[in-house]
Amino acid sequence: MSPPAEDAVLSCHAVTRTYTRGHQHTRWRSNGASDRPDVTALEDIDLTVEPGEILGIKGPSGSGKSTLLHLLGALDTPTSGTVHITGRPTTDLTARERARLRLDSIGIVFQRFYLLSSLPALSNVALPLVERGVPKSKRHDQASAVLHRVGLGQRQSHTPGQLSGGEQQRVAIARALVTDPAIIIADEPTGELDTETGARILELFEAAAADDTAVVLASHDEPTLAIADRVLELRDGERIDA
Amino acid sequence: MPGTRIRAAVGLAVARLRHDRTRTVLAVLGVTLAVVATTLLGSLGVGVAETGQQKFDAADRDLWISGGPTRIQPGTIGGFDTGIVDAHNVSRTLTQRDTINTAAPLLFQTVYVGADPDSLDTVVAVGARSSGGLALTSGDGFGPDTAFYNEGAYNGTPARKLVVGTQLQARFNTSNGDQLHVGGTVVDARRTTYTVAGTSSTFTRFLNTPTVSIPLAELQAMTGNANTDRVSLITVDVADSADTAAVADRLEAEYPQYTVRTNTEQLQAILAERIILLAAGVVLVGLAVLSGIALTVNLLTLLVLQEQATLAAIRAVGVSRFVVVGIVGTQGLCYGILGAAVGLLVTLPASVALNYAASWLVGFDGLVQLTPGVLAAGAAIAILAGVSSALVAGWRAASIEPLAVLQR
Repeated sequence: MSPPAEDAVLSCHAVTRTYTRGHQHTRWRSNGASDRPDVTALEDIDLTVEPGEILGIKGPSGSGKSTLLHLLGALDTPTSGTVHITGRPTTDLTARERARLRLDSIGIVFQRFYLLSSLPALSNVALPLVERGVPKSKRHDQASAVLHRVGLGQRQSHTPGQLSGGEQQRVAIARALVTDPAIIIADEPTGELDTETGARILELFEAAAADDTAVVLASHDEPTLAIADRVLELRDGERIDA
Repeated sequence: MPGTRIRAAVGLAVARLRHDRTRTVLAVLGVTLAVVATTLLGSLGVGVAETGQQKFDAADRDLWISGGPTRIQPGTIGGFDTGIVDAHNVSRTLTQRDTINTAAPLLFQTVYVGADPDSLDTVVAVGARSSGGLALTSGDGFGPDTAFYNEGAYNGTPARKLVVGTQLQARFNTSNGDQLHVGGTVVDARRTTYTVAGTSSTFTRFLNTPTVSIPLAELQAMTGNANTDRVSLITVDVADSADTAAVADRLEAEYPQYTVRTNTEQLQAILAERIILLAAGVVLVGLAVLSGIALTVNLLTLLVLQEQATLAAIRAVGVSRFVVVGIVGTQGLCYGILGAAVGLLVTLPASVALNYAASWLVGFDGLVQLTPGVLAAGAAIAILAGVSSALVAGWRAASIEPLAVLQR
């Protein structure tokens, strides 16, 4: 196993991810056998991300962007190669340890916000702090402070249904920032927003990077990728930017 | 730390209950219906058994001898089976025993009764040797039927006195000394009158129908039961020093053609004859309980399915399965607890209303009797519904794998 690059908060070395077709989620085939070939979603990827850096990932649908984000976000492990997050190799971790790593070091922002519709913005943002066992008053103080940072100080008690799409994404970003992560992983964060709202969302990522948080943005939208310090381009699971 | 997470999960679950009010109200309503169905029918069952036992105890009789069920017999005068023959002799023989204080034959028959000979009602008449066993609210009643019946011969002078039940007294507005037409047939009733000699609620309350009480031998003659001295029942008052069960066993051995029952056995026999009604009640409660559980489980499981992607995203940001299941499971438990509380609260006025309706419709007071056991059963049903929904929805939430959902 290769050691992580010095100063890198995130690094990949020779990462390959292969999926066995017809094996996962195929209930009618109990023995796991498949007559279809395996699919290589990513092949031999090397990259490093340093604190405060914004890395853009671009590529068409099916190019492996989401697969790479899942590996960088410790949601998945590579078939071969290594991924180090804040110096820890994810391959050696159990699912529970990876969940703890995500809670401690990674903030994840999704294209579709994924907020609990029945809870106010404050409670949605404070959810990760629940897992950390932070007492209620402190939890709410921290969540409130982050909501102020993303410009929603006056909308804390509003439920997602009472917020616009842009505001919901701000809440989702606040949820990612509330644990003060070393890395933010964002998958198409402006995909469901208009240009003006998307631009304001990107300012939040720039602000996070200015605070030394590493940001990895996957998008096929050029204006979104324009804030990146570097852009990694994928096609058919391989880097083509090098 | 786990305490903080549990408190937070409970707090978030409560916030979700308050936000999803329609869903909460529907789920709680389902549980409430199950609780109320259980408590009210359970209370009714307890009340029927208790009231029946009280009625038998109030009759102050220990054994009931019958020749079979007292069924309606269409096409006969009197209209009811009379299974015991030679009743006067049997009663006298029984009363001569040291272990028995009295043995009283009773005949139940349908007769025509009316103040106006052209307007006669069918009423249950109870033939008793005297009105001594009745609790009279007015009048002196009638004495032993020996004036008419003498050593097997029905040829004396009939007393032509009767005691009206309270329902019939109210219907005809009779006073003691008034004349009523009574007969086994319409023709007989038009030409035969009896003098009202008292009012009693004893048999009216026991049978829950308008009644008149008539000297036994006269009723036997009136309804064609005199030839073989037939009656419906012989009730026995066992001596205090005797063992009721032992007396019953001995009588059964000596009179194998008859059925001898204690008070409790007689009540059980009456209830057993209404087994279809009881079974229908139990099935209704079962359906209500199943519906309540199905509704709450369904609502909460649908919620989890609706929020599957969001719950997966929350798991993805590091929130553990424990907290996610805690939030969903607490919601289910809250449905159960709220359903129990509302159900038990509704049970109290509902039981009062049902008792009022029962008293008005059938004349029995206190037919619905709430007991701690019945209330506990209702609460247990609610908790079962809550735990079931918590387990099923919790299992669905626990089985959400973030990557599998987010990759779709």
